[in-house]
Amino acid sequence: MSKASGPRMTLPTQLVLRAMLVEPTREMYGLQICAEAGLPSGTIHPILARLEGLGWLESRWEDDASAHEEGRPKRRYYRVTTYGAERARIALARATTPVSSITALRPRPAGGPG
Amino acid sequence: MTDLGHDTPVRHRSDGNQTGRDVNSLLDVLASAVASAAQLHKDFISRRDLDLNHVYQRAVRLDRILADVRYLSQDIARDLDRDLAHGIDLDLKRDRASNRFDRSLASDFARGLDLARILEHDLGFDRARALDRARDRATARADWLVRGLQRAHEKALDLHKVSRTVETAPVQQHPAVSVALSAHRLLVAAAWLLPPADRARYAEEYRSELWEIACLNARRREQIIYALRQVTRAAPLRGAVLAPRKRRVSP
Repeated sequence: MSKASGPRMTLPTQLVLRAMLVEPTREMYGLQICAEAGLPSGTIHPILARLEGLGWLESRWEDDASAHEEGRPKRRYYRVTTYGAERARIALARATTPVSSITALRPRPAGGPG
Repeated sequence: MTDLGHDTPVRHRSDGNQTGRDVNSLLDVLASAVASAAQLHKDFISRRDLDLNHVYQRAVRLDRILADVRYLSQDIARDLDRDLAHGIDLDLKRDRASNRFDRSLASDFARGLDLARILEHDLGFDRARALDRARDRATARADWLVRGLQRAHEKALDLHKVSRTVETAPVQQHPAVSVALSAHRLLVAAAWLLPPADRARYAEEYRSELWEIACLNARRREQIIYALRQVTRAAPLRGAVLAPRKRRVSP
């Protein structure tokens, strides 16, 4: 599959990528990514879908047994691919809006006020 | 349809889900209509000792079944329209893919109903004119009717699948977790706005996230805000999931 050049490096996209590159081999579910990126809960699905479509991320469902044991619905876990980690680092380095220059966003716990 | 203002924890579908019951009724009636249309088709195909009275009666019965189907689909479309109208911006109302989905479903049923009426007319006409010519026409229409009903049946199954994905198992087994029913229904609507192949996945993902948010003692307002975010982001999410497929198709 031919991959497009990359996503538009909007600020939320950069924050998601940075959060996932802290530990590239670590799997995180959606709300966890929101919390670590400092974004309101449930705002990142289009970003995750776009990155997954480009092959930068991969995702999988949690085992039914684990979720059932904890008495909750199963989670969808996301992880950066090897290809994605490389492309993401290049894209972040080229991004014209440095995350560090934005002070308006602040970390929020998942599920907190939007 | 249960009032969206209730903070009723979501349990099984039997707790007042009128849309779910309507969908079940719709599926039953559709299955009956498909079976009747298929039998009608078979009657024409056999072409031997065709009892026109028998076939005529079957077409009349099919006409009545399709009228029921049309009534149910309008009922469901009206309930969905009313649910979506609660708490959603006016901009979103103009962009509801689910509205187009409902209209497409009702359009298929209306088409099936029209075909059944034409078939009924042809059979009446058949008695006075050449049998073979009218039978050929009716055979082709019965075939078309079966395909249209099967397509509508698939759409209704898709609708049923999305509802069940969100509602089948209890959302919480933890006694302290309270999921707002209105947030839950908004998420069902948000999943409907996505391509059919992706609805079940995102319905499940939204259900999981809503439960996690509720588990953090988020109030009804926060849960609805979360659900509304999914509705407002349905269009970009739809574009994001379709983009790789479009890239594969384009030269």
